[in-house]
Amino acid sequence: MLRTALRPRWLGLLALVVVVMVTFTMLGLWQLNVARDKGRAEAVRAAPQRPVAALTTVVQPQAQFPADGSGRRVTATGRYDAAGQVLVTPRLLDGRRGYWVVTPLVVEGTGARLAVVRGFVTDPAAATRPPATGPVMVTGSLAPAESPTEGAALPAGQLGSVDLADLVNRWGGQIYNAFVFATAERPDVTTGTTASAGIVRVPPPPPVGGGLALRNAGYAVQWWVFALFALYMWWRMVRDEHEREQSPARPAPAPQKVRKEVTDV
Amino acid sequence: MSEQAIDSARAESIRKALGYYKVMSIVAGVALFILCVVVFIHYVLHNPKPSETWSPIHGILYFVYVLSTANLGFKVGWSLPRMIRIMLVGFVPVLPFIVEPKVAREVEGQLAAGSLSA
Repeated sequence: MLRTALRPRWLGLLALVVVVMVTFTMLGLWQLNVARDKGRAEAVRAAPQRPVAALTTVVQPQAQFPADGSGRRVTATGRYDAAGQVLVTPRLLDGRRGYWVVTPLVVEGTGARLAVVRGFVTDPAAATRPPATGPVMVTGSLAPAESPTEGAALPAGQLGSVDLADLVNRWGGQIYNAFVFATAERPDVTTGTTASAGIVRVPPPPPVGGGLALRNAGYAVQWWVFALFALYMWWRMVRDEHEREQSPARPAPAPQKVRKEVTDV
Repeated sequence: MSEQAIDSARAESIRKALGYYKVMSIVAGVALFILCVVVFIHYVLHNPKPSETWSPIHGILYFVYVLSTANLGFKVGWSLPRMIRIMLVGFVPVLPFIVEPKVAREVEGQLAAGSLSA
């Protein structure tokens, strides 16, 4: 069987089959990407339409970030721990280089801290701390923790990313494995007072992830099935010729005819 | 097992493959016709919903048609270009309905003449 397969005409046809398989595999990958893009676009489109949920029903302290949590709109009530405020830099907003103002919110009920991006400043001095008033209800968009960054040492109270492992060390206690881009606060302690007029809200980024568009995912699978089928066709033709040679009782088509057909393809 | 028994078993398997091919040829033809309709609804009437449902189903049915063509082709001993041509027929509207009776008549004729099972 192997000796049949290694004949030049079958090897030549195999080369053709490989080209077809590579092409089909790439077409499948292309459709998979289309499926991902459409899924992401769908997630972006659907995110603002999903109902606002209480943070405590979406994610628990110290627990894993939920798979569909990115971009989820949540509300959390608690008290800001102003002493724990940090600045994350460098960050850009509308082309300006600056800092995210990240303040821990001690969430009512669980007592765990939630990192809240209250806003953006271009000057660290403008990042005033929230006043120690009563409870605040924060509405915002949920995001998973950022990766730690390496680089030049930053001044005290500044971080290179929203690195929750670093923040839990600074803040102590329990922490949520998530942070929130605040879009509103009640009462508004960030943009509502003249004392903190320098802080502007950071628009939540579009959610990452999202599902697959089923139709295009189906096309991707179909391309791969056809790629495998091309290989099967080749194997089957080799096997048939091999079997014809093994049993001379069965009439074999003239070999030169097969060669002609192969070059026809 | 005698030569005769092998031959009649082979003829039987070809007959089965032909039946399978005939059914799938008609199924693929109808599926393609429906695909044309949903594509029309998608791009002319601007309603993508039917095409989103039907396109993947058509893809699967077409693949089964291709399998049935290969199954018959290998048993009858068609050349590779001929198999590929008949597989591609499933992509051309109306053509499956024309090609299917021709193929069926040819294979049935070969079976009757014994030129396949001889």
